[in-house]
Amino acid sequence: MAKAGGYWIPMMDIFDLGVPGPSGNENDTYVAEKLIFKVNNLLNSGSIVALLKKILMHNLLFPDTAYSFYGFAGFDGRTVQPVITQPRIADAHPATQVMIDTYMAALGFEKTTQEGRFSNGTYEVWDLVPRNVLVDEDGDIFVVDAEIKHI
Amino acid sequence: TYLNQFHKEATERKMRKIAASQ
Repeated sequence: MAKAGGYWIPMMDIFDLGVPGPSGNENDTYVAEKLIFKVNNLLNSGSIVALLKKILMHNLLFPDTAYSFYGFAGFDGRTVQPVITQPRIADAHPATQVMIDTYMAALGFEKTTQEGRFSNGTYEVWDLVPRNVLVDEDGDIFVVDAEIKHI
Repeated sequence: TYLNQFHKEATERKMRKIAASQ
């Protein structure tokens, strides 16, 4: 179906997406002119449906770094990895934990006992640590990656 | 839908920055 819809990217063509960036636990990144492509191995999410649900929640809470679904990459008949995109965030660096805590408090979230984990009674957000959050020279915070669940 | 006024203003400001940087 992905092939018929034009959403299939053979793994041998993956470098056509862009210049390889850093790899995280769940994503290999490829940098294009205006977007970051993330090839997701589902290690954190567990399933494609769970990943898409997480993306929807991310886009509600952090719309400035909203994800879009791009397609599926993989080896024909063997593995499938969703490919998602996110806008490039320029001129920023990793935020400190205090900056992250302050930002989430401003959004109405309370810290839990675990560092980088927050709840507002509707959503629980975790893994908000410096490697996943950027801050620019004006102090604006960009949450690039987060684990999220609806409570 | 925004969580609060801060969320709205910060999001709109950041989206303008992203568009400008592109």
